[in-house]
This record gives sequence, C-alpha cells and structure tokens, in this order.
Amino acid sequence: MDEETLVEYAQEGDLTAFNRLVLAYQDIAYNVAYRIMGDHAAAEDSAQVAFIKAYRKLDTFKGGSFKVWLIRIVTNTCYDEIRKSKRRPTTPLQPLNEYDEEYDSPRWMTDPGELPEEAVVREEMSRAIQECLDRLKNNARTVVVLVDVQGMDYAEAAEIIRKPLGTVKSRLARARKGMQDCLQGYGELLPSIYRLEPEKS
Amino acid sequence: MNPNLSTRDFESLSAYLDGQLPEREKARLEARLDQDTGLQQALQSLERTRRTLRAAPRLRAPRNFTLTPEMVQSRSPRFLPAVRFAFALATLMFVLSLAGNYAFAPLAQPSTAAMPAETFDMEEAPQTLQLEAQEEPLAVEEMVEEMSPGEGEVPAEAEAAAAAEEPVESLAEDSSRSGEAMDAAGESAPAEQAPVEGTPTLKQQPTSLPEPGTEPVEAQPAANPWIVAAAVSGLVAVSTGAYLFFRRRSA
Repeated sequence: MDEETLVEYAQEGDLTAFNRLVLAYQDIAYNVAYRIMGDHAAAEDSAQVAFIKAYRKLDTFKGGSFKVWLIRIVTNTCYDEIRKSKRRPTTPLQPLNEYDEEYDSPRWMTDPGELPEEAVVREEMSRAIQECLDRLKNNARTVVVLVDVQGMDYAEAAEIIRKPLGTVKSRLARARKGMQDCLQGYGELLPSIYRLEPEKS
Repeated sequence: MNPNLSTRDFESLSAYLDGQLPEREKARLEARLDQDTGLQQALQSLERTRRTLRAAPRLRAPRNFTLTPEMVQSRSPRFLPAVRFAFALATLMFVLSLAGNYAFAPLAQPSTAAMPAETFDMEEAPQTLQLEAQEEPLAVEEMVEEMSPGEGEVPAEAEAAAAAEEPVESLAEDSSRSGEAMDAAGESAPAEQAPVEGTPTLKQQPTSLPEPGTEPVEAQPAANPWIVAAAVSGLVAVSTGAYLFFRRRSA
C-alpha cells in the first residue's frame, strides 16, 4: 500500500494505516526533534505529541508531501515545547496502557554493527554538533537541521518553515557560519576529515 | 576562514555550495574564486562544516511512536468551540457595556438617582411637597371626572383634608382647583347632592400624601441597563474563561 493510500485510509479514521505512516517517519521525526530540542527525553515527548497532533489534524492535509507536512508539525511542536519548558518544568511523557506499563520497549539507539572506537568518535562528534546547534537561534537551527543534518532540499525546508527560498538561504548561511565558528573550538575532537582548518602542507 | 568575508559573500558561498546560486551570480562568484585565495579558503572551510553536519549520526527512535485508540480519544469536546465563542462574545459585550455606561450614563440614570437621600434636608422639604401638591389636584380632578354621581363632594373633603396638611401657598390654589373640580362634579350630577361622608375608598386617597416633616418616599430606582448587561456578560465571560483556563491547564 503506497503512502497516498495510507493517508487516505488514515483520514477516514483508520488508525492502523496511520501507524504505518508513523513507523515510516518516526526516525526522521525523532531526529529533527532531538536536533531542535537538544534533549532525548524532550525529543521523545515532542515526537509523540507531534504524531498525536498529526492524526488529529489529518483533515487539514490537502495533498503534497506527507513528510513535509509531518515535519512541519514536529518543528512547531518543538517550538511549543521549548516555550512551555521556559515557563514550567516538564515531566517525561510515557504512553502507558491500562496496566500502567509502557506500550513499546526501547530500541537500541546505536548501530549494533559499529565498532566501539567508531561509536565513541561518532558520539563525540554528535555531541559537539549538538552543543553547537544549541547555541543557534531557533529559526536558524531548524533550517540547518533540515538541510544539512536531514539532507532536505531548500524547497522542502521552505515549505516546512513556510518562508520563501531567500529566507532559507540566508538562515542557512547564518547557521553554517555559527556552526563553523563553534566547531572550530572542538578541533582535535573531530575526525580529521571533518576538521575545519585546512591542514598546512 | 577569511574574517573579512561579508555576510553577503558568505550567503553566496553557502548557496553556491548547494548549487542554489543563479547562473549570473554563480559566474561572478567563480571569477572571484579564481583570483581570491581567501575566498577559496572560506569555501573550503564552509564545505567542511557542511560535511561535518551531514555526518551527524542519525538516531533511531528510542521506541515506536505508534498511537493507540486511547491516545487519540482524548479529543476536545464538541462544544468547546461554542464555549470559546461565548467567552469572546461575553468579553466583548462586557467591554462594550462598560463603555456604553460611561458614554451614556446621564441618559440612563433614573431621575431619583440624581437626588440621593443624603442631600435631602428639611429646608427643601416644603418645595418638594409643594411640587407634589401641585400635581395631586390634577389627579383628583381626573378622578372626579370619572366618579359616579353622588360621590362628587367626597373629593372636596379629601382635597380639603390634604390641603390642610400642605403649605399655605399651595392651599389657596388647590382650593380653587378643588372648587372647580367640585363644580364639574356638580354639573355632571346636579340633581343629587351627595352626602357629606364619602366612601371609604376615597377616604384613603389623602393618606397617600406625605405627612409634614417626613421625607418623601423615594421611587425605586430603575436598573441601569448598561450595568445589567455588563454584569451578565461579565459573569458569562468569567465562567467560560475559567473553564477554558482550567481545561488548558489540566491538558
């Protein structure tokens, strides 16, 4: 069953069809949420809330890219959660069944085939990137997450943030400049191919 | 990285890196890159930044975010839009009512409200009574015209009793008026001369007049419609607003 059909079924109230869409997009939704929020628990909550909102707002989806529509809800949910967290502390949202047990067991976050040294390096780099992302303003951070981290094109990013392409270009350049300045401080922590200063011959 | 790079140059390099620069600007930038080593270094540095960001580990979702019927059933009640509308409307009416009360207060105030009881003193009492006494004979005159024959003299007695309790100034005028009233009653019933004593109902008429030295009975002030509207709309606004606030808080 293709995505369009799943969306149609979901719009008619078929929760199973919607859950198949959830499974298809939950990784990118969680990644975007984590890069914007900078916290795993907050990202988890935001992703869950975003999927609930998406299901409830399915009637507003009028075609086009479901992924773009969904990621827009994710980013807006993240902004809402950031605003809320500034006003009051939050408690992690865990979906519980009638027996107060979690519905799903956690999955491994790391690639089981990865060597320990590689995993450490990747973890260091991920942490450095996240710390630099956290220093950016929300609107610049979202664009660089969408384009550079998630690999979306300018048009998709523009549709998600509902701004013209020119805004995406300028925000992306600003964000890259900020990331470049910040990542230089990590120097040796980054793998050589990612070090920002060219090696002197 | 070239510290002297302008923001515009950096934007051009960033877009150039992604192949998003228009052809003319692209050609111009490439011409500059051929001659400016600082610009070349800036481009390389930017390219590394982008490569680093693209190499950021993709995390897998720590759990499935699939929804259950329980998670999607907690939807807003159907009447919630109506509550929101009522809140907005009541708030608007409350503000308009207050504004209306402020703007049209002189028109809406009842006449008695302009004369509070505290301002009444005994020196003004005769004037007040006089005004009332001037109005009273007219009422008596009307009553006489409607009266059946045989009761014509009764108003005169009633009027006299009332006049006895009124200031001297108004007494003469009232007596002449009551005489006219009696004449009118006499014309309507010349054959029968009414007995001296009147009927009990007409005897009660003078008792409604104020007694000397007592304050006039204040009329019940009419409710100001602006204040009533403000109170009602304010009550609705507060109740609906409280419902919306606590519902949002609990959510």
